[in-house]
Amino acid sequence: MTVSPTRPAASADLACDCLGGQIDDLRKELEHARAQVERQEMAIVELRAKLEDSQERQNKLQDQLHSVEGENQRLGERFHLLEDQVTKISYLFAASRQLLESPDPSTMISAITEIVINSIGSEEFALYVLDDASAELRQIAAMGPQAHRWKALKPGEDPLGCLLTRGEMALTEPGETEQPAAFVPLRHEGRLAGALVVFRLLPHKMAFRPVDRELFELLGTHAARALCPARLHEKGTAAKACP
Amino acid sequence: MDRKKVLLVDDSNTVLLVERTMFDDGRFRIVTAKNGKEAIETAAREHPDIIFMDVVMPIMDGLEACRALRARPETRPIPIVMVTTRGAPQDVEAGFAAGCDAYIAKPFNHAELMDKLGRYLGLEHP
Repeated sequence: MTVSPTRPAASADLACDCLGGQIDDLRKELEHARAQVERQEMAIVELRAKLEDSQERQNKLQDQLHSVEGENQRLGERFHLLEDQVTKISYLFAASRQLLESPDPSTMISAITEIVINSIGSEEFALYVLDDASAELRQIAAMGPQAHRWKALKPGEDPLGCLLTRGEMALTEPGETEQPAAFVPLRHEGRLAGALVVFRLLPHKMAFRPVDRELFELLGTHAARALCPARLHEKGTAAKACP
Repeated sequence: MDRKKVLLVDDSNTVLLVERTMFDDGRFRIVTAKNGKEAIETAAREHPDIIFMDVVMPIMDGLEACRALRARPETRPIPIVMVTTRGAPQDVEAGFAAGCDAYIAKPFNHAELMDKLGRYLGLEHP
């Protein structure tokens, strides 16, 4: 039996063809995979760009949010400030108008009493005018037991007289001292004409507000101007008791 | 613009003027009364959207007026806010027992008044 010499060659060719086909297939697959990798890489680049973009937008939005939060806080603070201003101006406006428009001393004393009770929140207080003959301050309106104990103030005598001698407005916080809550000299043309003494604030009023000092200053100026005729009018009459 | 009608009741001209000034932002029509009796008559005639009423007043006090307003069908639904110097717990209880909806102690501030308007009239704080 003879063996054809061409047989192994043919077999090798066949194997080569087969391998060549496999290589072609692998090459195609490789090309395909490479194309896919390129596409994925492009997608990754795009996504990275989008991510960077969205991070940039997020940072911008966060900056905007902080800015809006800050602005909101500033507006809130401004709003409370304005609200306090409206409160203050309303009280000062009403008090000024009542004091300036009171046609007679009696109405004036009622106006002062209303302001001291309702706008300042006093539970016990007294209003005094200077008695020229005795140089004492004589009570013309009073509310509360403490107020009724001090019918007159003599300069230099007792704690109230000392405050009178000092001649300055004095405010103390409730419970701070034995002093009255407020002592307000009433001046007319630079001279002492009377005094307003607040012995006690209403129980729910814990402390004076900034507007209270301004109301006292207003009373210290305008009440005195009105109480000069009041002093003349009321001279010789008993102190007026408030309801 | 539909302006809300507010009835202010107080025997003190100073308090009425303070309240008027605080409400003066163009959103309200203000009517006033000087005692409880006047408040009942004014409420029946004017049909206010809300009433701010003092307690201690001559002729008829705020608590009696509040009870009378609650007893009348035409004034029963009107929100009533008591505004008074009497801030003790028993006074507040007496106010609610008389039928008021809310209680503000004097001296009040703008925010307290606006808070009650917001609550009972659904108004935004300006």
